[in-house]
Amino acid sequence: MLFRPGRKARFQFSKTDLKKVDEMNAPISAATTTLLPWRDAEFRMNPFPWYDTLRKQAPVYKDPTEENTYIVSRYEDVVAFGRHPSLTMKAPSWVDKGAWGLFKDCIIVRDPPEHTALRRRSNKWFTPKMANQWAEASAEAVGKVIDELGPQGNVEAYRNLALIPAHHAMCKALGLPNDGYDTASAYMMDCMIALGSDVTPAEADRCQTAFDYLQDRVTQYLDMRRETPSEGMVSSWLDLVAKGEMTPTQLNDGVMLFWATGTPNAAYLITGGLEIFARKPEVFDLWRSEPSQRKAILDEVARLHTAEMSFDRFTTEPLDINGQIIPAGMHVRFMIASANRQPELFEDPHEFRLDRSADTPPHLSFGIGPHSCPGMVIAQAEAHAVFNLLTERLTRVELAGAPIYGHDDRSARYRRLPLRLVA
Amino acid sequence: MIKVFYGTESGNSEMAADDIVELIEDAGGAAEVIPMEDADVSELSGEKLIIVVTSTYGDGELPETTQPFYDALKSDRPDLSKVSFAAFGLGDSTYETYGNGIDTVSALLKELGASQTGETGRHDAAKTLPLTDVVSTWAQSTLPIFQD
Repeated sequence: MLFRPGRKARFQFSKTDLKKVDEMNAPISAATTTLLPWRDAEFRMNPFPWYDTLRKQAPVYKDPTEENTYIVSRYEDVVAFGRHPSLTMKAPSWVDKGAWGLFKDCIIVRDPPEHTALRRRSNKWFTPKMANQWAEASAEAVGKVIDELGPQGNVEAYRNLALIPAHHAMCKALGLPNDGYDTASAYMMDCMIALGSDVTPAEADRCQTAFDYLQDRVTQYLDMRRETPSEGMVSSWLDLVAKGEMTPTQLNDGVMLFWATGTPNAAYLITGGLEIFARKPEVFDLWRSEPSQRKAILDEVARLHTAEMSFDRFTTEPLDINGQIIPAGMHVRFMIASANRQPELFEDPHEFRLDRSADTPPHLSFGIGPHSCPGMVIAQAEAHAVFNLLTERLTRVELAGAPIYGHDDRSARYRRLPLRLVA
Repeated sequence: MIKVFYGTESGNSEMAADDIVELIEDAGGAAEVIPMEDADVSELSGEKLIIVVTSTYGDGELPETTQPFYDALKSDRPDLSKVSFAAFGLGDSTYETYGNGIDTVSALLKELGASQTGETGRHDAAKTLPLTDVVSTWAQSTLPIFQD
């Protein structure tokens, strides 16, 4: 993830331009026009037809709209090259990191072996066993929502059954107060939009404003825990800083990463599951009756609901993908949302199916390799906790209105999921 | 008391080790979970049966807490000729080095004289089978307590 490469001007191609694009792409793909209209509303709502074309026509595609940027979209290439050891998280000097440049020393800007040491420091707080404990807070939050339902059982599920419950689990892990995340998550959306392609100056400014706010909150929480330590990762890390085993920058960046950025993607996953439960009551019943099917259900939810549709790396040396060479110093977007719906690997790729063959490859929604999502374990634990509680206490969930999505070109998200909870 | 040693990077092996202990206890046996980084390898020679559980890290390396266990065995070289061990590994078959961690530990235990009971169990994170189910199937087909 991360990094906003320098943008080129918005693309309105003349025939001459298209010829230039074609020539530029000639060594790397057969594309004759832009295949990824990043800002197009239809594309953002449903990019999969464009991804289908991309995989067929230009599986390694030099994006004409972004400086020095290549797009890799086939599952096999994402898996084989997305974790290639020559790729780096460190952006070359030509990259304008924008407000995301505040992250100086954490897992999203470091490569192994520094990355390994940082990752291990947080992994200790997010083992499956510990994540299940943290996720009890998610179940409690959902239980409270059910306790306080009105007579019709109507609830806005994204905020109340996913985002806030998931944040409660994260705050339990961190040892921080769990209020105030409505504002923080709204700002977090501004941050995520700035990771897309063809970001406008206004969007970049909003990202800066958002990070200014989020940083202010993190600073306040760190001050709070210096004054009044508590159980949890933040106080533990403050001790490490005091002992000289961790730097203040690592502390700040790490807390920012988990507190601010950690929850919206988990909330998207959970909400995706809730929508499937509403549309397919048999899956809701199956979750309740067949615990052995829960992993498969959540995997299929995650495959269809790829919160971050791509991840970003930079080449440090020429990267040969099936004879197509990406030069050193380039930005590469690996399109996991495209890979997750590649029909040659996932029959009926847009359908929720539990009868896929045993040799179906895993979804890539949590990324791959050493930089796979550090919040994967707690996100899955939160989903299990929420779904377990709902299936224990309810007979079914129904759509109470049309879902409202808010996808940009890189991040998928819900704005509303109106549900009716039926006891 | 059967000792179940686990080495882990992100905690999944701990879950598997917990499951194994629970299965043994449910079958009327006694077992305890020991993190590999806390193991005293000099005491292994006196064990009749041990169980080792580890994942693989990166491109075939040992996880953070398996490495010190392996290093201690390598340097102290206890005589394990009277020890049996059962082995369970966690990995991801999309890597060429799938299962390398448990194979590395098992090879060293054999080199030190231990004999393996049953086949090495493996959970593949690239498949949809839950870890608990795979552990349970392996334990019941491998561990002596379930064969009696």
